[in-house]
Amino acid sequence: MIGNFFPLILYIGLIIVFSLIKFPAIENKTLNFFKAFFPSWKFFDESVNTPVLLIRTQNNETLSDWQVAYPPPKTKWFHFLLNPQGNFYLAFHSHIQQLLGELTLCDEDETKSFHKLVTYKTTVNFARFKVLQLSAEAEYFQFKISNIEYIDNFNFQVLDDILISPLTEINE
Amino acid sequence: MNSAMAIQFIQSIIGGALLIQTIEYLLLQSSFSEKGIWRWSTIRNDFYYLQKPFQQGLNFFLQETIFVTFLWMKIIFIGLFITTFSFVPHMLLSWLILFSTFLVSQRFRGSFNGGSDYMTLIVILALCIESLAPDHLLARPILWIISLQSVTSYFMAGLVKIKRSDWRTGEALVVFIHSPNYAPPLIIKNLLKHKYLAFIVSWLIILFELSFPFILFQHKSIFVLCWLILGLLFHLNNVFNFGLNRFLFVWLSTYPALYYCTVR
Repeated sequence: MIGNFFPLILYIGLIIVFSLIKFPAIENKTLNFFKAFFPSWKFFDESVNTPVLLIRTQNNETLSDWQVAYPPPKTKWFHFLLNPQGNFYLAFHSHIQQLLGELTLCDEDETKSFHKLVTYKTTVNFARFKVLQLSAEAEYFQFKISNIEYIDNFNFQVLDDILISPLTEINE
Repeated sequence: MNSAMAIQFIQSIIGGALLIQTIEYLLLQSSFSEKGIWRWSTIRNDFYYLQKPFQQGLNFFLQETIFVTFLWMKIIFIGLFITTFSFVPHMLLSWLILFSTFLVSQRFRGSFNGGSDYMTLIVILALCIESLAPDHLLARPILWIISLQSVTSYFMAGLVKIKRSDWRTGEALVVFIHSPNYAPPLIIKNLLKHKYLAFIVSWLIILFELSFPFILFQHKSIFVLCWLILGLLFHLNNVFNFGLNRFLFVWLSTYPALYYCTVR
């Protein structure tokens, strides 16, 4: 009986052993290109809150208040079938995690040229995209990545700022 | 259920999942336009290390206009893939879908939706390999590969949770539910304010995920079906609390393989 299940027991044992080993990140870019075929399946392994993207605009020298660029969308019953906004939000969420990961790995020299990275440029695009949806008159915008805490359904307080962008022209 | 039937089921469900994913991308078209977020003119810098012909290939397929056309074509491929009466050879369709799904994931810097994109690619790759041999000769090992990927995904997710003290106390679940990053229904938020309830739910999740591989030790269909229904409920819960609809269909596509490998 046990003999029949031996390969399965061995497989589960190997998963446990491999999960205890900390493997170094793959540096090879070409291998990374195919990383989608080798998932780690470590879902929700971090309990810390992901910081949020806050944006504000400037028009006629007046700065608006900071606001959460992409609040999580409410899930409706039909979203089990089609949920483009929900998935857009999840992609945004992963992007912020990637940005923070890259920021953490940066040394001093790399931090100076951080604005040249694809991840940073994409974050600027996230902010600009939202600003354009919210305000057609805005001339400049600024964004920051911050940890926040909601006081009630609409108001929040900033706990700390991780990254603050310079004021950027809305028209590229 | 025989192996051919299991493959057919997987094909239909993963086809449906791909159809949903592709329609969602088309609905988000403005976000990957040159005035949007994932601009190809920016993203393509990620692939500087590839050889020139590969870079040129990506530039061709993934620039805005071609990419949208490509998504529409993908819908046609999927339509033909799902229907059994197709004038295009099934093997060719499978590989075309694998190629297009891989390219779409690269368009979004590796993946758009993390785990669900990875499982989608793995299931399609398995179906592609299966299609290479005549008369479903490779069906059995392929169904086992899909099953093992499926149980590994649950087991690993449970393993990383049980290793963390905040998951064992239920604290992590409370943090997730109340974080500004998710908007679960208010009733769930209020219920999980009770620490003992968060503790119970947290352990139910961990135990469910860790016990999933044991489905492979079962041969009674009633037990297997019960476990798969639990899996379905688990994914539905993730849809309504975290908006993870893509996971639901992609993981469902692995269930016929699990059923075949256990109850057969």
